[in-house]
Amino acid sequence: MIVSWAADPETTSGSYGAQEGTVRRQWLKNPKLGIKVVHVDPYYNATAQFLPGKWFAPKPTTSPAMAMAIAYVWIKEGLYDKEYVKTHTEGFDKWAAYLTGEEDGIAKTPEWQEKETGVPAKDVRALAREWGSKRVYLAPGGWGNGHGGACRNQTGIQWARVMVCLSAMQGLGKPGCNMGNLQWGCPVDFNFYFPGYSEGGMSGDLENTAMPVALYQRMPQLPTMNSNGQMIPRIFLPEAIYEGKAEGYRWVGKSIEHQFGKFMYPSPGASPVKMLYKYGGSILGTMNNTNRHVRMYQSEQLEFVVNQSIWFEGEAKFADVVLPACTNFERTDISEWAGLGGYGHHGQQQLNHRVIIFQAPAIKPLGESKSDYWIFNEICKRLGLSNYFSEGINELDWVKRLYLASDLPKVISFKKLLKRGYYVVPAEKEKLRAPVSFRWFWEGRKKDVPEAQPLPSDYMDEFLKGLQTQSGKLEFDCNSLKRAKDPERPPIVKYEPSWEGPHSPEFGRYPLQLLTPHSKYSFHTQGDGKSSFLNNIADHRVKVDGWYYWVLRLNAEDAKARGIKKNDLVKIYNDRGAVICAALPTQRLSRGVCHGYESSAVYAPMGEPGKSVDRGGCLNLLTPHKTQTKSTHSLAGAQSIVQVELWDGRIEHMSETFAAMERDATIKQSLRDAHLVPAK
Amino acid sequence: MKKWNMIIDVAECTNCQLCTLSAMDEYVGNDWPGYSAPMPRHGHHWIDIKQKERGQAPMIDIAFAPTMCNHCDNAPCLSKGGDAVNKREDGIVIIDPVKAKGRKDLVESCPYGHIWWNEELQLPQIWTFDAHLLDQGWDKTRGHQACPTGAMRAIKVEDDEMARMARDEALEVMKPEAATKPRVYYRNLWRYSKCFIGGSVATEANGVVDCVEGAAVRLLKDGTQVAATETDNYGDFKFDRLDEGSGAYTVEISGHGRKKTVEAKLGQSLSLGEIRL
Ligand code: SF4
Ligand code: SF4
Repeated sequence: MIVSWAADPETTSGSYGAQEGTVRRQWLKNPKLGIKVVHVDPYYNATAQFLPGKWFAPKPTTSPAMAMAIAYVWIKEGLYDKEYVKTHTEGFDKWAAYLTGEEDGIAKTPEWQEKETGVPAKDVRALAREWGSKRVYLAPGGWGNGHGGACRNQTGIQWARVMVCLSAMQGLGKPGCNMGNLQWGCPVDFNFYFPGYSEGGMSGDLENTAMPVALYQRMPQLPTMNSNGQMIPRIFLPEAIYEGKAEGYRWVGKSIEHQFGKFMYPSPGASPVKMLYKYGGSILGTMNNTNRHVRMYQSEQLEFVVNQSIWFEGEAKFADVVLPACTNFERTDISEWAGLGGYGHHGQQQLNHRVIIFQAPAIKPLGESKSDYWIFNEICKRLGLSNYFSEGINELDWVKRLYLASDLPKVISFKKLLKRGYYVVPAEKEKLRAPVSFRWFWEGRKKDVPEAQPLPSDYMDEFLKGLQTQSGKLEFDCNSLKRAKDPERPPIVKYEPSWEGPHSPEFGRYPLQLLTPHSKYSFHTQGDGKSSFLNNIADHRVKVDGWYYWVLRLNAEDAKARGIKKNDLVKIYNDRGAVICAALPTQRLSRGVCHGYESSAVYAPMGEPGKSVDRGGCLNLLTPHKTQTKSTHSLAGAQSIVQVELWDGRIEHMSETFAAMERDATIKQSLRDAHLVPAK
Repeated sequence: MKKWNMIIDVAECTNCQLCTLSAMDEYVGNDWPGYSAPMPRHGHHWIDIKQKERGQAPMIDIAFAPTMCNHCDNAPCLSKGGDAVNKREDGIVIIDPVKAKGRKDLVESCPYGHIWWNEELQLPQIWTFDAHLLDQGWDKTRGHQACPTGAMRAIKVEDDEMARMARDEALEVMKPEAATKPRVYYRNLWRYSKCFIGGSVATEANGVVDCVEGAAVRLLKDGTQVAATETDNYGDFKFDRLDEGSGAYTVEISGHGRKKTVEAKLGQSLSLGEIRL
């Protein structure tokens, strides 16, 4: 059986993998295999549509409670691998004591979870029994072994941890017991080197890219990145600009401990930011609570904004200077599809074939647009840095240098690659193929899968022996978190309801939970808007009165109760902002839940930005920017609470960000009027 | 003489829209003289994915049915079109992009709504089965090539062979009552055109409610049994392939030595929700 839990690879393409995994998941439809699939997701997602099976629809953010009730049933009915738990894990008894209620007097029964999740206790019990008596692949997130899914809402850390706990109880790595949804793990050739997108390219930045893993050794280059080291994650940029300070954590995947490293802005000794050089216009559609970014762009503290962009969309309109960049169809480049480099090592294993492309320009750059390389080099020329930046070579030379750094020269000459345009890396020989994930762990061998991490220093015992944890085992009671002493992340995973959801004090005013997952037809802001073909897909945008509106799905009864019909224009809002969408009543959502993709490329405030509704579809104007917990970088923006109503045509809507700004301005003014200086 | 046909498997279509996008890629801004004038960037759906959501949360399913010009053998557009509409020897219908100018009257003639009016060019337009590509030696259409699941397949066979396949594999066509003899066939069309009655059987013992597995469920119409099944481990049962709007049914459930009867009136697919034994 496969339990798909907040996993929708048919929508998210795994991640970066287009429809490549689809054909493999299609195998599951062969009745002769007898593999059942069940789906746990508040939305009856595209993967559930493709692979029919029982659908469990917990309220958004609550499914960790459902998972705990499953573990509870396993404990009560002895439906887990006790031997494995004894030999391969640590701290189970402590978690079991929490589940059975020994610790806090509350047994985490199926009935207990029903109050939180809305999923009938009987169904959870039946699932626990079926799961506990079968070999099961658990598929969390887009890749089936993580990445996205319920990870991106307020209880994401709990969810990720409890998914691992369930896998640990069933014997992760045992034949038939693993994580996956047939997206990740194709037997492509992992030994053939070609750099991925996070490997830095030509900036010489060893610190903030994945370049040190492999590329730098093969292609030394001059360091042209900003060297002062001050960093602000995009999500905190607004406060850094208009409040002059920000602090939090950065995402650094190098080791477990890196997540506890704090950043501060301004960082000691560094200059405050006065200018923003922004590439592209995706922030308003893809960050969270983005009226903050709207305010940032208007802030006096930000004196100058350059936007180098292919499209005049999103926030590009806020720039003082726009430098039009051409598309990748109009310039020379080289790339590998789904090659992610360090962000997701060996991301190409989502594909059925590794394909490396020489990108010859199909046409000359349109209008006044120029290639990025040309633009940067012209700026460097004026700074007297052209030779340093370009290393004296042109775009095609760089392509050749990357070619030479890769394993391509062993198999194809440069001339032939240019002529043919692509190279398909043959599959690994059968006997050299990577073994099954975690099988080594189950069998008690040294790690034998081709993964760069953890690095040698991260092993407690011997290199390649055991996991990255301090015990080398799967830890129910996590040693690293015992050190961290973080009340929001106790050493054993416990259920704590979302700080934005049915328990929120504002739930009376905002009684609907909004899901904002990645979009099905566009990728981030790519492909959306700009009069593209995607506008013709009714599940993507709908044309009403001459404007292409973003689609908002809501439960059919919730829609009816509000007098909303298909393609009606609705206003979806909360204190953070308001967006006008085209309604799509559906049974794919339970009552109380609505759904619209994040990452609209179009930002179209109908009045003053920050004080009016947006009809571009930037639902991230409504999502929270607070991190899941205070102690680590952890986006929580995939769920928010909102109200939806038929749009009355009014365009004013004051966001809390702008209300606060005006309040501040009024206070400052009255202080000035009274000739007072504000207290420090 | 071998002729072109399309076979679409409704159970395998994911609504990925690659077929529709590849049609736009092929025709928008591209003139194929003798076959088609450019398709407008917006507003036309030469390949159009219809969808059907069945049931009520959480017992639902969804089916997608790609539709397009059916290249009918007995096409009303042909008889009405005169020399503006032609049937090729390989079965493909072409609306002549020159001779059909101004023939808005043709739009109405298609019972499938698949003649698209190009306001700018004053032309009725259809998806041409990518005839310009097939004539250059392509062995499939762009949509077929792009389809990740094999849900859309163009095949060139003798009419006899196609008729045999349709019979043996229970292929259906859209709107058979229109008697246009479409060349686009569907597998598993019931997922789109038929409906179901389903429910979840549970029972309470010692204060605990549990799903009932293996309960016998019978479906009766006018007192006669039309189908029988058993509940699965979630207590779920489903009677599928019923006609929409087929009226009153009785669902009879027996298990745990108990019996329960539920009356249902079928318009669209119906989930009866939890039924306590
Ligand atoms: S589907 Fe319509 S346009 Fe196409 S051949 Fe049949 S009647 Fe003519
Ligand atoms: S390409 Fe295939 S799966 Fe995708 S929408 Fe078209 S027919 Fe369906």
